[in-house]
Amino acid sequence: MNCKTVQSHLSAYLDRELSGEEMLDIRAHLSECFVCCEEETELRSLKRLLGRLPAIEPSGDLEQRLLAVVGAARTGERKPGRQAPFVLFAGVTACAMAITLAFLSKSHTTPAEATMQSQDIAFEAQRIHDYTGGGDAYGAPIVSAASYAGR
Amino acid sequence: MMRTTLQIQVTEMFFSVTTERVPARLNRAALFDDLVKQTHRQAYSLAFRLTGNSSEAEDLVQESLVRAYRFFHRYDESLPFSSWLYRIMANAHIDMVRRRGRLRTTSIEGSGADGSSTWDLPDPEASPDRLMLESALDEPVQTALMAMTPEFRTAVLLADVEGMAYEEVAEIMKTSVGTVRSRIHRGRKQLRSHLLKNAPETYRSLCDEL
Repeated sequence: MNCKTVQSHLSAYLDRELSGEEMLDIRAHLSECFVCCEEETELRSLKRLLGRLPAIEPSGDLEQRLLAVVGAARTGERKPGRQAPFVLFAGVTACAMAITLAFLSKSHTTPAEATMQSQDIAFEAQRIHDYTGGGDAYGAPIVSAASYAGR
Repeated sequence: MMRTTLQIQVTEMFFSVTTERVPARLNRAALFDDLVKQTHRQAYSLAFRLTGNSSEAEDLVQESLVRAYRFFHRYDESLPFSSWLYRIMANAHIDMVRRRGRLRTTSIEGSGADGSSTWDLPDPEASPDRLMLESALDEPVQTALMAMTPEFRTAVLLADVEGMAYEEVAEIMKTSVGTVRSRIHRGRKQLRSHLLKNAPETYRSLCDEL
């Protein structure tokens, strides 16, 4: 084995992730090559350093918050069928449109302002839909730490 | 008579199915809650190392646990739950970084300065000098980790911090052992270069101690 091959295998050698034959070949090379031996020592120190990194403790209430979020996912799962949120969404959207039309016809709101209001209402409707039963691509409900904290 | 017997059997089957469902769901919920209690601390620690700050770490653990709960019926009990959770977490983290479209190389909170993070009790066997060096190097290590691609960072953390074998890392990262071997090797070398550039004296002193 030449230095280049040995050095490319040094991490796997340190981790004992090579075949017995490869391990022996590298060990033999290291016993006679100062440069590769230095490299091996350095990588070994780095591995030890990473292994000694302290565990980072979460804040005391994380467990309760996680259990609450999982509990919320569970409650969402029990809702009968997948149609209900869509019906609710359709209803909320229809109401939003009706309110927007009423505003447009009865007030002096400019079209731009009206569009903004309509978008706000539609956004709220989407948010309610997401919260009540919608989910991301994985089917998980969209409940972020920020939205949780807000409750 | 035959018909009646059959009806009774079917009725019994129906009731046995319906009555078993409720406890099964409750058991599943209780089992999952226990798994959350057992694994969340370790998962948080890994999430912090992956994301570099406590709020993203909490989000990552939370998102991963919700996904894990959704797909709990697919969980193969022959694997440790933590490995399965880490798989979800590793993928969620890589997705998160890609979605964001940038790597966090600055603004490393935590590492002791963060009020919500505390550290393990010191090892009584270790020399005071080494402990001091180790804590001095913790922040540069985290900064160096954040400068890596999420794939390299995840592979190095799973192997070196979590102490997993390459095959386990490959299983978690849904890739080959050869790819894991390369990611770990290149990741360690990147980490070393970063530390030699940004905290050379502390790093050198600690390497001599170790």
